[in-house]
Amino acid sequence: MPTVLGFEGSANKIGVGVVRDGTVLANPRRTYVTPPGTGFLPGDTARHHRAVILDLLQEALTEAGLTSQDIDCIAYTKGPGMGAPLVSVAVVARTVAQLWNKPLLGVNHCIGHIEMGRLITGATSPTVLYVSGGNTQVIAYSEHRYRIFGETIDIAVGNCLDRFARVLKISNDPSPGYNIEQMAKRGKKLVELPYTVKGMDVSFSGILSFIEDVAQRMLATDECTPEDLCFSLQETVFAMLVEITERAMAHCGSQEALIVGGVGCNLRLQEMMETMCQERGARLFATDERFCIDNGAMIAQAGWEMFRAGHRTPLSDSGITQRYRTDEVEVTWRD
Amino acid sequence: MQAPDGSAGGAEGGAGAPTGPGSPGEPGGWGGTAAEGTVAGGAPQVEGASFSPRQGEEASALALASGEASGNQLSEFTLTVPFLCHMDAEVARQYLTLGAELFHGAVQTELTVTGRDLLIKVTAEDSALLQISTASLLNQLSMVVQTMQHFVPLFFAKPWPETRG
Repeated sequence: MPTVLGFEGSANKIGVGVVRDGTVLANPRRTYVTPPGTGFLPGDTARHHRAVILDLLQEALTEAGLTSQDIDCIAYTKGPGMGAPLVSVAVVARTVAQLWNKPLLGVNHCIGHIEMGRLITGATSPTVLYVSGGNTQVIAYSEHRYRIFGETIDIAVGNCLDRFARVLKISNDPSPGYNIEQMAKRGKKLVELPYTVKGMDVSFSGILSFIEDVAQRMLATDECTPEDLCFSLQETVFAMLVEITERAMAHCGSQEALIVGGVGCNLRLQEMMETMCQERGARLFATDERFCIDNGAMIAQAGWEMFRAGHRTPLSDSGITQRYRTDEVEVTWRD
Repeated sequence: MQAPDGSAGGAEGGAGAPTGPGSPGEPGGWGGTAAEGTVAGGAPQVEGASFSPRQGEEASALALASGEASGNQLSEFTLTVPFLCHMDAEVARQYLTLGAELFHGAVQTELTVTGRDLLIKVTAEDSALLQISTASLLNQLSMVVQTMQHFVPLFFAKPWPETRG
């Protein structure tokens, strides 16, 4: 019954989670929120993480009712993500691993999302739509790798939404994407925006440039409201995601779809995906904000799988990497 | 990597963060803003950091200061951090070694332990990169020490010897 402590801090959320045999014992998290109209910078984010991580670690242990002696393995996000925040968290993970004399495991952030999604939903072998502020990928498992069937060729869908939120000075609390979703519910008019799907891939930089350009003009002339723009942006980008997911499901003959990542919390996206799945006779799986949004437990869960499969990360290899592809990891814990 | 804000680096670095990690030209100060008292009293006193061109290249340094370009100017940052014992210094050295790899050869970092002192030497041709890397290294060192303090209560149990004060 291994118990794994997981550290996550690749972007503006920092979390420490504890997982034992498929049960999440603790999963506290903090979010670095910047003022409206701004984004989070690596140095400032790292500073935030350094300020809270030790208290968060203690909170996780207390919540789980455990001490360091009860922990069997320390997992941390090796990448991908922002360099300075990743380093800040990795340093602490590495230090406690040495202090407590526990094995260390560097985990791929994307695989953390997938493994937590599989654990929480019970999906067996789904086509995964991984959508967040930093990543947008359509993934399916095959022969010990999580294969990337399609992805963004430029920016992530969450990044597109977040940067549009800055244009409208939408609050970043609790997250810009959440606030866009709430505004979109009040939207009434669909503004035609560039729809860019290239085979199995998508592109969001063009739609972002376009909407940044037209937003001020259209709002100034009362052609539409901010709510209409939020609604239109969501409808367009989510339709793109649904298309490439469906294409991957058709290719794989998959009857399951799983949404993971922070943007996966969006109920409109889940609704659109559900419609597509129903039309195909497939089943949709999704998690709630506890596990969709970056968290420590997902790293702990992936670490738990890796630990049981015999993976270990030597100290000499326990750095971080900002670019860490999902398919770089050999998934030895699955058949 | 985003250059740290030197003016905010100490205060916002969390309890026990060294003052002014973004200002390598200033004498090392350790634990000046420890609101929770985790470092106060028992903190290792960091000997003054030096941030200067290498000896023998003062003429080049002066030329740089006056705005003239110099082809082979190397800037160096050195710091000696005393720990309570050799093992603690060695533990810190191991953790910091990996962080030094972030700059892919553009910055050379040497970490050695002599007795209970951790000697840090960072060298780079680009002074801006040197500043960023030293700030990063100091932030990491701060986190390592804070983590040790948090989970090893006896880490700073001994009062600091008055002779080193």
